Parts: sequence; C-alpha cells; structure tokens
Amino acid sequence: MIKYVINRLLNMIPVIFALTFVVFTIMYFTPGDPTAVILGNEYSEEASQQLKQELGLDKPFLVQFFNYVGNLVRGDFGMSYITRAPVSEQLFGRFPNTFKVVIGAMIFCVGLGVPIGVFSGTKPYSFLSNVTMIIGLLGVSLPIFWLGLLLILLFSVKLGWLPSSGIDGFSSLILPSIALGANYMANIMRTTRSSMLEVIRQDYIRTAKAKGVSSRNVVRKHALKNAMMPTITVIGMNIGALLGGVVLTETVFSIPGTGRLLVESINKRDTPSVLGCLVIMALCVAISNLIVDLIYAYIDPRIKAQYSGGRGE
Amino acid sequence: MKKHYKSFFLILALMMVLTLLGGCGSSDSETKADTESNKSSGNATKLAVPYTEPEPGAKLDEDIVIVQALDMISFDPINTSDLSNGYVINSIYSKLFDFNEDLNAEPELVESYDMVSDTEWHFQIYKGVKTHDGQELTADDVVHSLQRTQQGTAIGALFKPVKEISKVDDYTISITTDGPYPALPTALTHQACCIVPKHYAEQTESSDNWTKPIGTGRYVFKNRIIGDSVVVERFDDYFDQDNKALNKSLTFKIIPEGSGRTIAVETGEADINIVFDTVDYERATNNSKVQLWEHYSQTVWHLGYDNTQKWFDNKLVRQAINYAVDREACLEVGHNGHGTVVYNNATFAPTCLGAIENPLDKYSYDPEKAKELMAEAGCPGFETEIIVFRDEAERMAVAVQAYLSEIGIDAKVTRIENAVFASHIADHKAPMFITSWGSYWDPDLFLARRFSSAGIGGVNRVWYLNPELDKLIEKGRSSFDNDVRAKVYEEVQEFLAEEAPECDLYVNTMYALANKDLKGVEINVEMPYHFHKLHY
Repeated sequence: MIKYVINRLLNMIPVIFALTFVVFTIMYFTPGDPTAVILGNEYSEEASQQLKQELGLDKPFLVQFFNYVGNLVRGDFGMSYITRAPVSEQLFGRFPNTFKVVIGAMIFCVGLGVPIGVFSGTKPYSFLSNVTMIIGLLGVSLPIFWLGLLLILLFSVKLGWLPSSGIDGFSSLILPSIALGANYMANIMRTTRSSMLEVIRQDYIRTAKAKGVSSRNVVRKHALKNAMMPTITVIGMNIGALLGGVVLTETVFSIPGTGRLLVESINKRDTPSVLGCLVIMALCVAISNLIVDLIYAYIDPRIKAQYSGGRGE
Repeated sequence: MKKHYKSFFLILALMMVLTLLGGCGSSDSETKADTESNKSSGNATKLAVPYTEPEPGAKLDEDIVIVQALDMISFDPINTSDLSNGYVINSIYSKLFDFNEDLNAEPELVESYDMVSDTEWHFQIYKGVKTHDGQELTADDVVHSLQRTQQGTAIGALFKPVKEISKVDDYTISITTDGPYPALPTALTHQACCIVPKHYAEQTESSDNWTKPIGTGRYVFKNRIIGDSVVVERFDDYFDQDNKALNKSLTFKIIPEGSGRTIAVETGEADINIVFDTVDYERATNNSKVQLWEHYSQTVWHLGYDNTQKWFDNKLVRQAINYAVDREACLEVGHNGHGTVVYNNATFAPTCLGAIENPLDKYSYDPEKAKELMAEAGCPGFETEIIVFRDEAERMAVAVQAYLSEIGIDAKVTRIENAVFASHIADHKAPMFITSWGSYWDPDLFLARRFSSAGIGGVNRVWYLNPELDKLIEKGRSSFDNDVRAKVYEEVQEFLAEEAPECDLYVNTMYALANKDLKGVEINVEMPYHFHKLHY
C-alpha cells in the first residue's frame, strides 16, 4: 500500500512538469503584455522595453521556461511581474482562504447530500423524497453567482445575520460554502439516491430483510457501504470542480483566494502567478484523487488487494 | 404525467419564494427610505467640496473602513501609477506637493519654492519632518527618492523634461529642466513622486522587500493581507500637526464586485465605497442610511480612430464621425446619464486650463451634416472595427456602431483584454476604439503625449502628428502666465476641432457612497481622496 502511495506521489512530478510547460507555452504565445498593464496611461515603447528587461521578458522562450522550472524545483515560484513580490508570498497568503471555502463547501455538500440521497433512495416515492429531489434540481440549476447574491441580500442585508464579504471567522464561511456547495450537493444527492435505489433491490438486501434485520441496519450496514462507491467517485471529481468554481464564490463574497488571483493574473498576463496558482490547484486535485482512491480501498477489500499487489478476487 | 406537473409547479413556487426572499431583501428598508426621502428629500446626492474643520464633539478616534475594487500593487511608488495603489501609498508617504480638488499642486513637504531661472527650481522642505522610524527627513532623502522616480517607468513622460535633481543644502533641493516647464509642481504630485526615506529605500533595494513601508505620511503601515486588506494607523508625529489624521486608522478593503461594495456600506461593514458602480444609483439614493457624494471628473471618454488608416486619414470623414455620434446617448448607455457631454477633440475636460465648451461651435448630433461630409469626402462607406476592453466602452460601442451605420460605416465591435490593448494600438490593429483618459488641469501634462510624436508607441493612440500643433504645444509651455497659456490652449482646441483627430464624448461624474454620518468626504476630479479627513 505504501509503495502504491509513493508511486502515485512520484507520478505527480511529470504531471506538474507537463502542466507547467503547457501553461507557460499558452501564456507566452497568448497576445498581451504585462508591461502594458503595469504602465497604464504612462505606456511608451521605451518604458515597455525597459520594464521587459527588468522582468526578464526580453529573453527567449526556452530560457524563460527553464529558468522558471529551475526555480520551481528549488521551491521558488518566482516573482510576480505585476507586484514584484514573490509569488509564494501571495499563494501562502491566499491559498488557506480557498482551502477553507472548499472544505466548507465539501462539508456542506457531503453532510447534506449523502443523508438526503440515502433517505430519498430508501423511500423513493414519498412526499419528502420529492421535495428533496426538487431541492436537488434547484441546486443544480442555480448559478453560483446568482445564488451568492441572493444569499447576501437575504442573510446579510435583510436579516443582518452573516457578513457579506471577506473571510474572518466561521460565520463568514457559511454563505460562501453554501453558494459554492449547492450545485455539488445536488450532484452527490442524486448520485447517492440512484445508487441506493439500485442496491436496495439486490438479493442480499432482500435476504437481510427476510432474516429480520431492522430497516435501519439494512441501510446502514448492508446497503450504504455498497452504494457509496459511485458517491465517492463523484465527491473526488467534485474537488476539482469546486476548485474551478471557487473563483466565482471568491468574487461574489470578496474572498482573497487563489481562484480570484488566478483570473486576475491571467487578465494581467502575470505568468508566474498563473503558474503558481495552477501548480497548487493541480497538486490539490492530485492529492485529493489519491485520498479518494485510498478510501476506495478502505471500503472495498477487492481494491485494497489490488493496491497491495494481490489479484483482488 | 400529473405527478410531473405537480413537481414542476412546486419547483416554480420554490424558485419564486427564494427570489422574493433574497431579491427583495431590502424592500423594507427601501420602502422606509422612500417614505423618509419623500418627507425630507434628504437622499439626493451631495457635492463633495473641500472639508475644513471638524465640528465640536466630533469623534476623531474611529477606525474607518474604505472599500475599493482592486488590490494595491506595490509599496514601491516607482512601480506603478495605478489608482488602487495611490489610495494606499498617498497615506503612507508624503510628497513635495499634494494635489487638490482639480489635481493642481499644493505644497506638502515644501515650505517654499522659487525659480532660480526659467529652467531651474529650488524647493525648501520643512525642518524637523520625522519618518515613521523616528529619523529626520533631509534633502538627501528627497534627492535619492526623486532620482529613483526619474529612473523608474511609472512617472512616464511627466519627468521627461527633468534633467537633474540635486541637493543645494540639507533642506533645499534643486531641479533643472531642459526648457521652461511650468507644470513641474503638478508633475511632482504624481504618486511616483512619493518620498521614500533614503535609508529605507537602500535597505529595500538590497533585500527587495517592500512589505513594511516607511514614509513620512499621516499614517504608519500596520499590516496587509494580500488580496483582502491593508491597514494603516495614524502617525502622531506627522510634521503638520494642524493637518494630521482625523481618524485613528484606515482599512482599505478589497471588494471586486460593484454591488458587493454598495452592500458593505449598507450593512455597516464599511464606512465608504470609493469605487461606486452607478448601477446601484437608485438603490443608494433610496436608502436613508447612506449618503451618495458626487463630484465632476476630468475623465474624458472618447471614440478614437487610427488617423493613419484609410478614410480615417481624411479630415472630412473624421469630421463626419463627430457629427454622426449622439454623445448624450453614449453618456446614457455608458454611465446611465451620470456625467456631462463634451464637444471637444483634444481630450480637454471642461475644467482644464483654457477649456472651451464647443470649440468653433462646430459639433452637435447632426446625421445629415455627417452624410454631406461623407459625400464631400467621396467616401462610399467602409467596414471597420471598434476595439474596447471595458464594460462601459462596450455598451457605448454598440450605440456608436448604430450611429456609424447611418452614414455607411459598418463597424464590428470587438472586446479584448486590457493587457492586449496597447499592442493593438502599437500594431495598428485598432482602427477605432473607445476608452477614457484622465486629464490634468494643466494641458501641458497630456497634450504632447496624446497628439505628438512624443506619444507615438505610447498614448498617442490615434497616431495623430502635425508640426503646426507641435508648435502650439511648445508655445503653451513657454510661458509662466496662465492667462497667456489659456489663450494658446483655446487655439489648440480650435485647431483640433477642425482636424478632429478623435471624438470626445463625455466626462463621467465621480461618486463615493458613505455612511450618512461620515464626515470629511472629499473627491477630486480623478478619485475620492484626503481620507485623513474622514471621521464621525
């Protein structure tokens, strides 16, 4: 198992290298000039050239790329073209905020999505099940931006219960987590429901019921564990999607996170900052996928056997 | 099937409830505000005029939260001329001259100054000015700081005429220029001219660490959370005790979304929003808890065109475009009608030195006249492109597109990113464009850059060159008598009205939304400023 984990971690290196190369190439060949953003109304050809020299942007593509990679290997994300401050400083300042929001959203979507999905799957045609499915449909349909603004208007402006912006303590995490998580909560809920519906009709469930096991135990001990595999897959996939969706949440709720930094940096053609954000996000997705794979092994002994080099029979 | 209908209606009902709960969240307060405003009509916008002294009993120890749209870039003044940066660094550093309501120079660190000759100025700074780390500011600091400014890129063309900056004695600085430069004190108000004490500048240059700035300004830096906020605290040893801060601290908070900034002031999370989005105008004026402050600006929105390209190189076609566009409509779609239209072709705001309302009484919205001029030019119409990179400009471009189609010009609207705009101009890929220009009161600070070879490859975006105009610009610079200069600039505007190198549309009104009890709100022609006066 440890060998498997080490292998997976080592596999991340070529992934990060490939990502860096692709993004660097795209940024290099995309029209646009960070010096134009920096100079604004003071832009002139002469000033732009001077600035390019100072930033090392006058060097050939491969020299710039390998300089960047060389620094990255030493753990140095380089200097932002715009702020002239180390990118790592910006990332360490901002990533914890993104992490908090994503974790908050995960807790919200898993904490609500799984129980509601299980309930809806075990009592599929009840009134409450229909209501939960409608909530699910709403969750999938509402854009993050719109839902975020509605939540702010209701809970911050009208009721005055929660802050509308920034990230300062637990209360400031509630609205962003709901806005970001609503869409994915619906996904998890629907997946859990359909998976439960399938499992609940299996012979071993009928057998358990026939043996007199209580409904609660049938669901908890026999159905849930088997129904969780697709749900865990969806949760794993959602982590990447959450990191992608976080930029809108960060904008609406004015949270200084990596999502917002990424978009601002793309607009300003600040390649080192773009790469820094993407490397961190790629690492997060890779690590979370690894964790999901390990959870598979915990739930399903056949997969665990495969990881350990067994035949998995 | 029946079941599906039921579900559909249930969904519909739920969505409506959610929208009502959220979307009409402020209906109570709005209704209340409406009633109150009907009673007292006290929610109209107020003109932000220079604030003098706090009233007796004023609270002068408050923490003031200011919301702005973008994060600052760097504490090194020579790094950028970005406005979002200026808000913060103007609080931490002092300059030889500060700017006033019209962006004119007012002495700050300078006690007195005199012109030794047409090309040499001497500036005496106050004695006993303390830096935030307790050292005394001397001419060495000022010379070192301004020399850095001169070598940097942020000051741009404003320091082009400056030849030498040197020390005369411990408290006197000499600046020599390569010719008469009456606008020098105004140039020294630029944020790149913030004075960074020499010992701190040298320390940061070697370590490249600008994270704990030290200056001589009204506020001492306390902390910064990148992308979120910057906090500065009152500097009790500020040299001008009569003008020290009227609040305990300022927190510059970043809220990128326009409505988010309005909401922050409404909910009391912030005291003032200095980048107000006019989309929230009705909402703000209907809320009795907040006050919307306004001021005229010198930001001129204009339709530019590449004067070197076919048909735009024809004066008659350029004039036709100026007659074809309805500026009132552009103001309406661009800034919801909040501003003043201008009939100018030289980026002169109505408040600039020598500005005339409609040079030669030439232009108005007259499509028939425009068609006549197109016929006179022998222009059958042509296809072109309007380049924009901002929301307001994009909205205006659609209106302009319709007006141009009336005279046979078929324009395609293309939105690009800010970072690409300069290269589009440099590569002649922007046959037409809509953008804005923040004018100074003194036209010498922008005319040469906008309409002469000095701005080619830079902000002479319309590629207009004319030796006759160059002579006029030179003439405007050669006198120190503003009455004489104003006459020259009137000539410039009339000359350019005939030449029509661009089509100026309007200047937008500046706004700041504040808590209704907040006092000391000041706005100049470019931005809200003088935050040291904010108090309750």
